[in-house]
Amino acid sequence: MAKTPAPIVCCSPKCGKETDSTLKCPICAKDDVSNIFCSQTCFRTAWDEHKAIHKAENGADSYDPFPNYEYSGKLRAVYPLTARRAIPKHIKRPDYADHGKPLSEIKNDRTNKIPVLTAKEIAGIRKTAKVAREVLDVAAAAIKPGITTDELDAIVHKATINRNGYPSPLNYYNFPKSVCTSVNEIICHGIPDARPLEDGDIINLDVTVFYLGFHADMNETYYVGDKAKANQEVVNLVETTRECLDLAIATVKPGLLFRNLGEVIEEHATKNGCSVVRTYVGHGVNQFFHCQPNIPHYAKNKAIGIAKPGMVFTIEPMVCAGSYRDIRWPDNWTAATVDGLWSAQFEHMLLVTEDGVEVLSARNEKSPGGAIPRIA
Amino acid sequence: KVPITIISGYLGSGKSTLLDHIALRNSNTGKKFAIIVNEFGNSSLIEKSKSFKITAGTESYDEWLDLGNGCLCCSVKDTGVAAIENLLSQEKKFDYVLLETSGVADPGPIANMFWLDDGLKSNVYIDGVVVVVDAKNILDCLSDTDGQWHRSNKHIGEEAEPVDDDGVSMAHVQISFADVILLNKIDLLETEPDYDIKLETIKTHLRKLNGLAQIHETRFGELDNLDKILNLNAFTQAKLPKEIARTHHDERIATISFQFNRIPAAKVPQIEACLQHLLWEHPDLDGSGKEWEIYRTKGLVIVEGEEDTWKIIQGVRGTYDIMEGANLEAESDGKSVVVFIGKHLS
Repeated sequence: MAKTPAPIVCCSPKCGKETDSTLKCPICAKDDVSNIFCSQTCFRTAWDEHKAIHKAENGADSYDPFPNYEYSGKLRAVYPLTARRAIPKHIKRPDYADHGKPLSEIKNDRTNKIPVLTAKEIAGIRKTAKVAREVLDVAAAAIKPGITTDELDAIVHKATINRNGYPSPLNYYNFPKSVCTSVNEIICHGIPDARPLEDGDIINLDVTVFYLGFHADMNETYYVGDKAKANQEVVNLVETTRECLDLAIATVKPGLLFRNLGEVIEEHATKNGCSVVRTYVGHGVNQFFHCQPNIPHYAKNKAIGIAKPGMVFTIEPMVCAGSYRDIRWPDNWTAATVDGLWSAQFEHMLLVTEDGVEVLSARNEKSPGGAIPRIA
Repeated sequence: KVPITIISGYLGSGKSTLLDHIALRNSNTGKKFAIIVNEFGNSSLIEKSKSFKITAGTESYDEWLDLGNGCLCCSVKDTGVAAIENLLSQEKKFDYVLLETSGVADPGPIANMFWLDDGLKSNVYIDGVVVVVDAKNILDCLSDTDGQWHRSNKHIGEEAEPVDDDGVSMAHVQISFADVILLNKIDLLETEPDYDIKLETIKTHLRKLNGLAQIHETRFGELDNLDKILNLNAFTQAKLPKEIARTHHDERIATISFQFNRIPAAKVPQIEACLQHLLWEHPDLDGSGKEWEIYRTKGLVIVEGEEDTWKIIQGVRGTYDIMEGANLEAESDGKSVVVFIGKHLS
């Protein structure tokens, strides 16, 4: 009995609908790769994201897609990106997987109510968090000089689908990959590409998994090789950031005003000669990838809300060695420091309990990385 | 820091004319205004518009404000705000920004976007909300409980309901957020008999909705003195009128105020907790189950001490802030006041 062939789906990350069109990207076709678009319009609107996977025009193995951009630091984008990774049919996908727009989340944003999870939901999200922690640990174990951020993305993607989860970043507002890899001066939202890690780098892996109907979001910064661990300033930056998160978590319990979390973080960062990024905030996470509450990491903010048992949210301070100001690369995602100095981040996902907090994303004895003492 | 004033009001109320006049006048005052005009008719400012047109200073160049299209999913700042900050950080050195919203936009969230945290160290701050109102038909507009008037005058966007279940329209909401109301097209009203009575009726009605706003009459969008709408400091000070109009029991939108004496410093956290409870928990205060909403909060609290100190309370919907105030003895009359403007508050 002949198997019906898998339906062809439009290659545009903004569409993703089934199609019987035969319109192929001519450049991909030259390499015998068939990428079908359902219409000229889809092809045109997808072009900016799609062309990232094309080889260099001069035939070189890799190239800088933004040669005229004034990068603030030493890091460069290294293209081509690899093609979009497939998700097996049986895996439950969030509503934005096909076209990029998280419609339910956009609709929910209007209500401004902070969700409180039921006991059943809490049991579910605990499982999701455990899966995300496993995925993060598997990828972190692979970090070493020479591995590319794209290879780390492949590991995250495979580990996630092997556990029947969907890698939440994939196609969220058209983010092209399954994990955010932020190296050195990149504050957050780095796109995995062909750049190999170097001894002395620091890298943040930000993993989010969608499983059992919930998202679980966590990240850690890791030292690459031994050089980074021997660099006094780098270690100060990374450890200060780790401590900022721990200090903030220690204050979480019912009755905590979300606007006060920033004070703890900013105070500790400043004390250690670092600054706190203002543009990106911690956020509620549950059935939605991002929802209320908004948690700024800087002092003197007007965040709305008081912690109550059953609320689940992240705290994810981004701390910089120099200025806190951020700029965005032309890919519209990668956030870098304005002065090219480095930035570190740590994120935990927290559940407010009756008398305190439960760290849903907690490390275990086998988790790679971890705190190291500062260098005197 | 450059102040930004939001100019709101229905299509046809005279917003654009007002802004044209300001732009013209300006060539002589030496002050550089960046006037950001909404180019997209009646759609909601935040959702639909991707770019704005700027008419700035004495030159008449146009610039499209690039809002970008990246996701700022976990970003605290709106793209519009970031774009304006970017504009202000360039060479042009503007002294003031005027932002025109689309006809049926809710100025609350827009003001909130620009009511930036001190911690953000922005180069722009929200100065006030000015609402332009057409004197000739504002009363018809406000009594349009079934949406008929709105529909026949084409004031609604394609998908929006002009009037909600309580008969409250965007005009009500805009007026409740106003720090200054410009009663425009007075010239059209002037030709009518009983002009004085009509004018008083309009003003009384407006004051019942929003007891805090200053009301000024204008014709053809001409304002004799720009100081009436600029540098209001509406979000950093609390100019509260001594008398607040009492409202009838069933007004949908109303201004209510609470007056009390100076309080000991120890009680300030209690007031704050009470405010949080009101703004964030929405308790059913009278057991009626009726949905109420606070749009705008302003307050002045006198704190006892060796020397009295003042605290200013400001709020836009659920966002609030309590800040130190300067010596406001002359204004406060020795009494603390907290004022709420909103729906079903009585």
